[in-house]
Amino acid sequence: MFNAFPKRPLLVLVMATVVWGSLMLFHEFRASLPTPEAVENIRADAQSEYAIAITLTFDAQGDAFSPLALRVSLDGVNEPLFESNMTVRAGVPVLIAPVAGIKVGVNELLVEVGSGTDFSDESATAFGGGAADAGEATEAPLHQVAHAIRVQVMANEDEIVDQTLWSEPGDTVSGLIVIDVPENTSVRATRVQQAGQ
Amino acid sequence: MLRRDLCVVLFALMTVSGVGVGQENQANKFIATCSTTQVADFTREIVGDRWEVRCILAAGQDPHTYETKPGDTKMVANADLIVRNGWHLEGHEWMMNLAKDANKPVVTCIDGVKSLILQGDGVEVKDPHAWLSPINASIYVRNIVKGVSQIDPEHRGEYEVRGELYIAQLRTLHLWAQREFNKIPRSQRVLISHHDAFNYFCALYGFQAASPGGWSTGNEIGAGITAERRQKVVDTIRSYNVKAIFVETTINPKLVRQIAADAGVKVAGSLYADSMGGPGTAAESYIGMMRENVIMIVNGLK
Repeated sequence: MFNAFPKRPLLVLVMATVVWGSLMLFHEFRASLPTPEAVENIRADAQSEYAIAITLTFDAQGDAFSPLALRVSLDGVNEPLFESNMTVRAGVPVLIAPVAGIKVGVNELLVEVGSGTDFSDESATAFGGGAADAGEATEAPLHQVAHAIRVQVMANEDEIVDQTLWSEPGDTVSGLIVIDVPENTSVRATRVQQAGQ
Repeated sequence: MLRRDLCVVLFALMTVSGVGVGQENQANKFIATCSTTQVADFTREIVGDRWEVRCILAAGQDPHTYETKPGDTKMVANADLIVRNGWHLEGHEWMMNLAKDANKPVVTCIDGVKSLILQGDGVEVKDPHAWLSPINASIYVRNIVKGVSQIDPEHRGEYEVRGELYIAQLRTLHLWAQREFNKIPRSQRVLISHHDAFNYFCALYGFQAASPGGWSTGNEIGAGITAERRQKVVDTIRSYNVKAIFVETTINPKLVRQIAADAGVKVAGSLYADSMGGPGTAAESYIGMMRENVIMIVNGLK
C-alpha cells in the first residue's frame, strides 16, 4: 500500500514548501534586523563674516535658451545666494554680503553667468545681411568671444579668494570655487575646480 | 527526475515573483502618447524611466500626410498625456482630433514660438517646422516639462533638472552648428530641399531656403508642388550658383532628383526634416538628427 502512494509529487511539494518557507523566514529575519542609525554629518558654522564680489568682463544677460544673467549658489543651501535675470553690467562689481551658510570644512561656491549672446537676432544672421562673407576681415561676433569673470571672497574683510573663471566662446561662464574653512575658523586654501561649461 | 521537478518548481516560484514585480513597475508608470518622433524624443529626455513614452508615427513617416488607424485611438485612450507639435504639422490636426475624442490633456509643443509666416495661394500659414531650430526646441522642452509636471507634480523637480540639462545640450548643439556653418561663405548658404521644412533653421544660420513643395507635403491650403514653385527653385539654383540640393528622408526623392538634373547640380544626400532616423541609426535622437543634417549640409555646400 505504501508503494502505491505517490511519493514524488509529495516530495516536490515538501521541498517547494521548505524553499518558500526559508525564503520567507530570511525576509522576516532581515526585516527584524535593527536599522542602522544615520549619523548626521553636522558641520559647525564658520565664524567669520563673508562677502563675495563678482566682476564681469562683459554685460551678462540671458540668451535665447535661458534668461539667467547671474546666479551664485552655495552647496547645501537651497536658495541661491544671488540670482538675477536682469543685465549685469561689465566692470561693475556685484557685492553679496553677508553670505550665510558657510560651514567649517569644504564649501563649494557655484557661479553661473549668462554669456549675453542674443541668438534670436535673426537680422544679424539672415541671408545677405550686413555681415561680410567668410574670408573678409570682420570683428568677431559677440558669441565668438571668450568671457571671464573675477570672483573675490572676503572673510572679515580679508581677501581669501581671487580667481578668474573663463568660458568657451559664446558659452555661459560657470565654475566651482572651493572654500576650505579649517576647524580654527581661519580661512585658507582655495582653488578653482572647473572653469567653463 | 526529482532534480528536474525541483527545478521546475523553483523556476515557477521565481517567475511568479518576477512577474509580480514587473507588473508593479508598469502599473506605476504614466503614459505619454506623442505624435512625431521629435516630440517623443524630447519627452523621453524629460521623463526618463518614470513615464512610458509612445509615438504614433514611426521613424520615416510623414506627419503631414498620415492617416490615423484604429490602434492610434487606443494609444491615445490609454494615455495620461498627449504631446503634439501643432500649427497643422499633423495634417488636418489628426492628433488634436484624437485627443479631443478621448478627452485627454494635450501639450502643444510649439506654443510660445515666434512664428514664421508663409505665403501660399493667397493664404498665410504659420510654419510648423519650428523644432529644426535648437532655440525653438528649447521652447518645446519647456512646454513638455510644464505639461508632465501638471500630471505628475510630485516629480516636478526631476523633470525640471532633466529639462535644464537637455537645454544645455541644445545650446552646445547650436554653438557647434554655428561654427560648422561658418565654413560655408554666406553667398553659398542656400538650402534647397523638397518642402519648406527648414525656414527656422535657415533663418537662424544665415541660409536662404527654397523648395518646390510648399509648407506641407499634404493637400492643405498653400501646400503642394506647383510648376511655378518648381521653376522658382531651378532659377534660384542657377542665380545663386548652388552647388548641391537635398532630398528628405520622409519624401520620395524623384522630384528633387529631376530638379537637380534640370539645373545641373548634384543631390548631396538626405536630410532629416519631419522625422528622425530609425532606431540604431545616427539620427535616432533629435541631437543626432541635427548633427547629421549639419554635417550633410556643410559637406554638400562648402
